[in-house]
Amino acid sequence: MPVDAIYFDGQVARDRPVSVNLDSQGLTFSGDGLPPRAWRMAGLFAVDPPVKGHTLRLAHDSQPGARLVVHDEDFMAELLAIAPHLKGGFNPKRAMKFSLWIGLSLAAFAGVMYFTLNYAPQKIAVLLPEEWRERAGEQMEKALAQGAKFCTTPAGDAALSAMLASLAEGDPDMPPIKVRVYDIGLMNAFTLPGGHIVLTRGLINETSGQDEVAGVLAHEIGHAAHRHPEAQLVRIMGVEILLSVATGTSGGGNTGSLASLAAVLRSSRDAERQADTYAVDMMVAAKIDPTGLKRFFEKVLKEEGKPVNTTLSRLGSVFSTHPGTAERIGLIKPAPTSIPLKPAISDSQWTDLRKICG
Amino acid sequence: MTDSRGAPGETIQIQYVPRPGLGGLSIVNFLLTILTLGIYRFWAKTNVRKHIWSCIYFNGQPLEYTGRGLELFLGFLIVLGIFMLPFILLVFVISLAYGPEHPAIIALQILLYLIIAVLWGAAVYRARRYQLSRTLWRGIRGTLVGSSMIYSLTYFGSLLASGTSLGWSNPVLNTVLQEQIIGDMRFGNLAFKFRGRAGPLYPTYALCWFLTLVAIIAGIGIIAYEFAVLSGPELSAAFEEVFRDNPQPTPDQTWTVGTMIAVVVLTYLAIFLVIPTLWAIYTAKELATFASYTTAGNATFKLNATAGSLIALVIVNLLILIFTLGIGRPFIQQRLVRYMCDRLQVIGTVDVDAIAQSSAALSKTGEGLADAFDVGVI
Ligand SMILES: [Zn+2]
Repeated sequence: MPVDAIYFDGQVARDRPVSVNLDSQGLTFSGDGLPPRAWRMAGLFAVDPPVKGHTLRLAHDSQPGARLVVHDEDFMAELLAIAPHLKGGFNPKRAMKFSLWIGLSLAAFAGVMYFTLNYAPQKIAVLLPEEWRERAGEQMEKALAQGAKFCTTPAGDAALSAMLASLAEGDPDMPPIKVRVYDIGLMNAFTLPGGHIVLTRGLINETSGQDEVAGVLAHEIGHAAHRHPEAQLVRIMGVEILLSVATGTSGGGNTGSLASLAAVLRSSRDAERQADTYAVDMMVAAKIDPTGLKRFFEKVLKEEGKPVNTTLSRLGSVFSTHPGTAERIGLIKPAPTSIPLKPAISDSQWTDLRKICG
Repeated sequence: MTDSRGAPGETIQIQYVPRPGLGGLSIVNFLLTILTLGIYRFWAKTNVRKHIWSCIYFNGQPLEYTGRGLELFLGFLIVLGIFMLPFILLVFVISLAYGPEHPAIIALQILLYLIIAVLWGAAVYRARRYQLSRTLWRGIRGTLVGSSMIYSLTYFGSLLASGTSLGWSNPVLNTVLQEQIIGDMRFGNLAFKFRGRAGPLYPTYALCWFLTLVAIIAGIGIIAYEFAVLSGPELSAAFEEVFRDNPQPTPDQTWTVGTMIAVVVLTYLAIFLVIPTLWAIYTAKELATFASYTTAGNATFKLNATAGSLIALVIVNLLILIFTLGIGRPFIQQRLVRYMCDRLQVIGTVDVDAIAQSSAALSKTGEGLADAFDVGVI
């Protein structure tokens, strides 16, 4: 039984009354001087999901823009029985496809995140030119010191160089290191890009021997040798890029802030373990007692739990990655007894170093 | 309709016939957008447009939106790839190489804002062209046939002129911009025309401009009066006391500082509510005038826009946005479209049967720039 419909051919806006025949192959329609046309079931779609009692608007892939408008409930029911794909709405196959897409996108996103955060930064850090690292280190050191006095005395500087030199005996490939002491009361030490190491007056005054300071210094050299601060710098910039891409904004370039300084200084537990291992190996090879680092950690363990609320302490540091100080202490073994140990610097040099901030 | 062949054309009735389902659509869109970290927004936007378009009837036949989310997504990726990503990477490398405070980064940022300002008009134009080309009525689609760059330069020029003339160039340049975009507009082979002068807009513009000036001066006056009345050593002492580390102000001091702050904040708020409200008068005038300048075939347009109805529209929209936490945004779009449909009249006739499809090629991607700049389009 043919039904009446209105046909738009997609070429002109004129509407043509047609009569439509439905069979299992598809639709055929003609009228108003129009030669008969056939729309096969494959390629037939409903513009809006069909709703009972509403007008059905049909279209076909073979004829872009063309529309067949039918207002006949029986016709709609018959058509939907032959071609259930026109119903739209919930379709398990489409839902599967859609979930698959979401799953794949999330997996791709996780992959990009993993690469950006874990793998790439360390690789890029190794490639960074000397000059860039140096400049970043210099700038961050300035930001970190926050105007605190730079401690220098001829005798103190000599003692510091001597300590560095005796540690260097333990690693012929030690990267170039610039150690500076600042007049900061807090007991802390920081490694920045470009081999810049900052020690505080608090660290030097509150340790009870040169080997403890040497241990901390060796640990920091470990971070520098593994380029941890550079990797961290690349990592935050990567996150900034991802964020600005995801949100569609063009933020970024704000690495001078205290927050990003804190991020550069925050090392992962793996990085800490690497630096500890490096320090112990270096000290043993340099014939310096590695338990100096251990004694230092024990001191830190006692300090932990005390409330701290200065900006510098919130920046985090080598030794304040919370869980695990005890664990790290356990991993530091004394040097084999066959190795004759010597102090990192002489006692008189140690006295000079302790007076470096006046 | 079919019987009207040979006649000069038919009159056009515009109707908005709401359909259920927008609420569910809003919620699904919101959830999926969050689940996909924002990527679904292109499909969400598409679904909302499909719904709203299908409620707009011209002479009993609805509009149809044929755009696809994927097209918007690809447009976004292209703009991201050729425009944003190089910039972001450049900033990245420079801040690695020369530190984050290097002047080159600030220069780059200024350059970026400049590029955005220059391309803003292009974004508006291309978004409009995309939407028209994805809008079907009786199987015929629309388009813009002109150049988005010419429009963009005019747009940028109008921004500069507006700044230097304290806004007095706006009516003229808005008219020029509208003339360009309407003059470029086609529905199939039916061309739209825009003809008219900016002159009639100026009395209303001047009224709003001077009222704005009065509002600002009044605001400054109120604050200045407040300072004058309360000024003196007691005032600064009160402020110092209230804002020091461990404040112990007397009740008098608290009261002084409290009123001072309350007056400043309230005046500020009042100005920020009064000024947009004032400008609704001009916006209504401009909308109505522009509609009356527009013709298509033998028809002209008449838009019954009034300041009061615009203000009510915007306020209710804001309330919807706030109370649905943004989920109800599709309803805001529906209300804007509905406002136009309910108040727009077509006067005269259009020979609908004579309209033929235009042969302009369809672009495969949409709105990249507009999305990147977050241009406010539906
Ligand atoms: Zn460390």
